[in-house]
Amino acid sequence: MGPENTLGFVCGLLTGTQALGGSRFSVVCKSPLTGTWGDSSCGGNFGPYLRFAGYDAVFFTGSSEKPVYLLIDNGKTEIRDAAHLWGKDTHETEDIIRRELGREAEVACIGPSGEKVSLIAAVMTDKGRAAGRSGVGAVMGSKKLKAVVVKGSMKVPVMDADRLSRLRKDYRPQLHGLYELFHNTGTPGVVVPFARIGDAPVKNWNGVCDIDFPEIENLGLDAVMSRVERKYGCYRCVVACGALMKESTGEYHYGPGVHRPEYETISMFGTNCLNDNIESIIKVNDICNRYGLDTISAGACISFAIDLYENRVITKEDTGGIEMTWGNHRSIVTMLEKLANREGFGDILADGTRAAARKIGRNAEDYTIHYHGQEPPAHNPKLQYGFASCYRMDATPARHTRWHAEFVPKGVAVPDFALDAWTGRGEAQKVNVVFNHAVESFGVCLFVLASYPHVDALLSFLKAATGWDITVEEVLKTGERIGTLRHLFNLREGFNPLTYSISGRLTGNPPMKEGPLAGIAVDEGTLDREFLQAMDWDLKTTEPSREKLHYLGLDELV
Amino acid sequence: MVHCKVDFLGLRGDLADLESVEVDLNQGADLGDLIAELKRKIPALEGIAFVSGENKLMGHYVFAINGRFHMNDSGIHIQNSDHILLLILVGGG
Repeated sequence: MGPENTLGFVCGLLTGTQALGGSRFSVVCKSPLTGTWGDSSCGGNFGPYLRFAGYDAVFFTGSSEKPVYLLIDNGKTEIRDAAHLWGKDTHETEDIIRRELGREAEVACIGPSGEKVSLIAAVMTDKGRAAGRSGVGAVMGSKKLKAVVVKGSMKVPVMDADRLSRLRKDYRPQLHGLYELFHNTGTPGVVVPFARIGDAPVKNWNGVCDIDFPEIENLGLDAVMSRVERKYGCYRCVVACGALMKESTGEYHYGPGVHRPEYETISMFGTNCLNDNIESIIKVNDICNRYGLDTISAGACISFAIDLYENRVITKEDTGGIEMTWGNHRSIVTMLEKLANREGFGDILADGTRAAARKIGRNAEDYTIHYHGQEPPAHNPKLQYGFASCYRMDATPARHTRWHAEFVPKGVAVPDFALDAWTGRGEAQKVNVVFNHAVESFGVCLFVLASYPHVDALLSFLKAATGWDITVEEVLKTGERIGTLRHLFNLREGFNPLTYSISGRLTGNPPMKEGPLAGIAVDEGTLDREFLQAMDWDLKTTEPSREKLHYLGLDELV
Repeated sequence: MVHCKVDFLGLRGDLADLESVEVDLNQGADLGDLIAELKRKIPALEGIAFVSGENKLMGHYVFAINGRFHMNDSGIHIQNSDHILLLILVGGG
C-alpha cells in the first residue's frame, strides 16, 4: 500500500452501451491482502457514468496527505477536499455528494473500513454494489482517496449506435436460461439447495448441512423475499437481479431501501456461522455496505472467530466479553461492528483471517480458510472441481468468477468432461477461464451473459460497438492474453500459485466423514497439471512457454 | 392433464444441444412423475441428470420451477404452464 501502488477504475468495451448487461467496471491494483495482482468487478451505475463523463478508465498513483475525492464532470477533472466526507459511511457519503453536486452524480467510495485500511475493505457504489475482493478498498484508503465522483452526459462513442439499439431489442426477448430465476429472486434462492448438496460452507467449512444446520430452512427464499420492498437493477439491466428491503421490524434496525443480501452473504454469515436469523444477516449486509467491507471475507472472519472460540483457542478475554458461539446472531452482529470499526478483537480480524491468525498465534492458523490470504467464496472446491482449479490458479487467488460452466453461452465449444472426474478437464477449464477473462474485459455482467441465447449475441454487440468483426476464437485468445498478463504480473512479484498452502478443509485433507462430500479429497495434482498443460505453462514454475507468449503477441515479455 | 415446457441448462456431451421439451402429465403430478416422463421422452437423461432406475435427480441437478429451486424431496405438484428449468448446480455468484 502507499504511493507506489497504482489504483485503477476501468470500464469494459461494452460498459455504458446498449449491449445487454453492459454495466460493469473493475477496480484494479496490487492486492495488499495477497500481494498478487488484484482486481474486483462491480456493477451499479458508476461504470457507465464514468464513460458518460468522458473516460474509459482512471488511474491513481501516489497518495494524498489529506482526504480528497476526484470529480470528473463531462470531461473536466478536479481533485477536491474530502475532509467533510472522511469518517462518513458510504450511504452518507453518497447523500452528501449528491446534495452538493446534484442527484445525477454517481459515486464510487470507501467507508470507514477503507479509511482504516482494513485489508478486506471494498469500494462501494449505489449504496450496495461492491468491488469487494483483493482489498481494493484498503488501497483507496491508503491514498486518502475517499471517492471518485462522475457526472456526465456524453455518449459512449460506438461504431453503430442504431445497430446496437436494434440488437438490444432483438435479443431482449430471447434471454433465457437463468434469466427468470435471477430476475424474479436473485440469488438467495440457491442458498438452501447449495448448502444441502455441500456447496455452501457450513460451520467454518467443517460441517454438514443436514447434520449441523437443520434450521437452514429459516434462510430459505421466502424468508428473504417476504422482506423485499422492490427490485433493484444495475444500469439499464433487464435482468435486475437485485432488490431493496423493507424497513426492519425486529430487534435489528435497518432503514427501508437497504440492499438485499445475496447468496454469498447469506452463506458466509448464515450457513457458515450456523446462524438462521435472517434479519441479522440483512443487518450485517447493511453494515458491510455502509462501512465498505467484502461480505465474503468479513463473514469468513466471523466464522473463523467463532471456530476459535468454540475450540477455546480464544476466550471472552480476547473477545472483550462477546460470546462467539455458533448461531449466536447477536454476537455475530456485535463482532462485525467491532471489525468494521477496528475496535478490540475486531481490529485483529479486520485484515482477514490469515493476518488474524498470525497475530493470535496459538495454532489459530489451523482454523483459517483462505487461498494465499484471500478467503474463498461460498462454493466448495470439493464439489465443484472447476473452482478447485481456479481458486488456486487465477491471478487473484480464490477467484470464483472464472468457473461458470453453465454461464458460457451456446456457440462456445467447451470440450466435454465428466463432472465427477479429476482428469480430463484441463482444456474445458481453460476455455471457461479465458472466456470469462474476456467477458469481464467487455464489461458485461456474467448473470446477463448466462441468459444470452447464443454467443452470437455477444459478438454482435461487440461488432456494433467497435466495428471489430470478432470471432469466438479471437474472444478466447483475448481472454487468454488477459489471463496470462495477470499471471505474469504475479510471477514478476515472486508468486507461484503451486506453492500456496491451502486449508485441508477445502481440499478434503482429511476427507469429511459424513455428508454429501464424505470421502472426497481434491486431486490438486491432476487438476493443476492438466490446466497448466492446457495453458502451456511450465508444470513447476508455471511460466508460460516462449511459444505461448509469441502466440499471444507478448514476445517482449519473454 | 397438465401441459408444460421444460428447458435445459448446463447439460453436457450429447445432451449439450438439448434446449427444451414439452411434457404432458396427469393432474397432481409431482417431481417424480415429471422425471419419469422426461426419461421416457429423453432416455439419455437417465444416468446423467436422473438416477438410474429411480425417478430422482442426480446430485448436481435441480429443477427451477417458476424461478424457485426444487430438489428430490420437494412436495411440489406441477401446474399447467409452469415454467420448468432443469439445470446443473455448478458455477456461482
